[in-house]
Amino acid sequence: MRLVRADLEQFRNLVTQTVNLHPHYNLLVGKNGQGKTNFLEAIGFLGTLKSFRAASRAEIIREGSDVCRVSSVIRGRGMARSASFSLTRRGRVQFLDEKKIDSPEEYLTAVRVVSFIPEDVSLVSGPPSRRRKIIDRSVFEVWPEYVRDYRQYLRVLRQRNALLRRKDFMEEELKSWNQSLAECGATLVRKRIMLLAKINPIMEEVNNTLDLERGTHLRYKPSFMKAIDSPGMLDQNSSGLTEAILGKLEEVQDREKEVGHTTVGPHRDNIVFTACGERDMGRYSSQGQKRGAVLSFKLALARVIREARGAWPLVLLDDVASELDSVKRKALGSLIRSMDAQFIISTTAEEPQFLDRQEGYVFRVENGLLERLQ
Amino acid sequence: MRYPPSLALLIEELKRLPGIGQKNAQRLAFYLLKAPTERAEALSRAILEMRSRIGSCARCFNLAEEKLCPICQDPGRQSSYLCVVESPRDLMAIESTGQYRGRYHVLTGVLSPMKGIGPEDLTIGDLVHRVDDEKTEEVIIATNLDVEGEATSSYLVNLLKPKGIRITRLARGIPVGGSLENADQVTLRMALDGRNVV
Repeated sequence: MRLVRADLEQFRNLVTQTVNLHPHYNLLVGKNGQGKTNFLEAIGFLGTLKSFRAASRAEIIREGSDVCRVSSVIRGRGMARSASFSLTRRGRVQFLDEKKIDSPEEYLTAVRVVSFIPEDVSLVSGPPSRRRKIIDRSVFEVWPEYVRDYRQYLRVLRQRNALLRRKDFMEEELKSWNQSLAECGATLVRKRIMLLAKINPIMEEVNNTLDLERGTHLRYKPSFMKAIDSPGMLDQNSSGLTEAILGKLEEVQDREKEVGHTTVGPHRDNIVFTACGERDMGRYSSQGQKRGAVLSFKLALARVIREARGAWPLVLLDDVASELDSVKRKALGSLIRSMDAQFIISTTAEEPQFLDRQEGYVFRVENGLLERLQ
Repeated sequence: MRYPPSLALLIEELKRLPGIGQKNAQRLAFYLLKAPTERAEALSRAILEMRSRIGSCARCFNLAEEKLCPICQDPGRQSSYLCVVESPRDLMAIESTGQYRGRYHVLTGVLSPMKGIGPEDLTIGDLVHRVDDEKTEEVIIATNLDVEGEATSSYLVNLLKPKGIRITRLARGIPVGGSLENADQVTLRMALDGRNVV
């Protein structure tokens, strides 16, 4: 997928303007607070319908305006189409080829974006819910029908929690909800692990190229058993996983009746960034190492999406080079060149060192205006 | 100008019906106003009569105007088959295939703790008695394939398994006239699992 053109209207401090992009490399240079990250956020929103800074609509809409709009022309598989969204304080609407799209899932499968921002480093040491969320989003990118599995699981979970809260129920009734929870849960766990199995070897490669901490990978820590080691558990109908969840549910049943909610299942599983020797990076690694881990995860994800969907997602990298030394910057440069994706990269350095200006477009960002340097 | 009170009242009542908005309600009301008196009378009679006559079948909880519904009264039906459905509408859907010659049992709902519906709120106790009394050989569970329908199904399976009878669930798969390309993964996998020898 290539973003050919973006039209911005009233998005944060960005001036209303049209930006034509290079099919491979786009570099945003400029001082802090000029609008580089805002531009990346606008493009990220176009791809995910969410702000990667978790900002509210009111924050995004330019002060004094009622509506903000970003429209774009994208090209994928030789076909050009338009994607756009508009935000008011009351809500959001998205369009594909000028047609309003009610289901976000339908929109999201048309525009794919992977972003890396400095704040992402908190993904490593933050609460498990954040990592579950990003893994679930990633599974959806690779297998869009996951959204249905996910909703089904949530519905079973809500039903089972409602039952546990009621307290005066028959064992048999709980048993039937256990069965449903285990079956739906096993489907989620299986797909998440299948995604990690795709991501991890590529992360390893990226790590080696960038000379980051050795052995960095994502490890699935289920809430219902110690570890999922045997590949036999991941067979077609996930019967091994179903049995494991079912067994654990029965084990914790008495406690769950007391607390009134479900304490095991994929909604309580953890996904951990680990380095060599199964070390939890959230606890033992430096900021720089964590940053590197998230960066290599995001780059690996882009490649996994490419393999699964047949087209590269657009890759947004915010201030990616600032904490890398010159050797690593060079390595990042060659890594980026080895990927046939379209990149938009922001940097405060005048000379980015990892890409030559001739290879793509360079935009100077000042007071919310992007100006292409010749 | 406002509608005369009696006409306004009719419009308000019609608006309460599912799928009827202000415009449709006005159209229906004016139709009834202009139609021959017999039409309006026939409609109001039909509504009242339906309400006074229809109850639920004492055996299977299908809609019935007598103690038992026509299916339960039909001696040609095979008592050895019992098809369990959520509602009379689902029963009608299966009945319209003309293929099934056994009997039915209507659960009058599905398990849903969020709505406060447990097994005691459904006709599950009656189902168990029927299986014993009527010497049922096969129970066909035809609840919907959503989360609640599946949970209800597994509840019934656990309950009826010890009786040693055959318990079956409706097959899942590709709809007739549907293309494989458009089927989602889950459905396709179910269809593969449930494939038939030809």
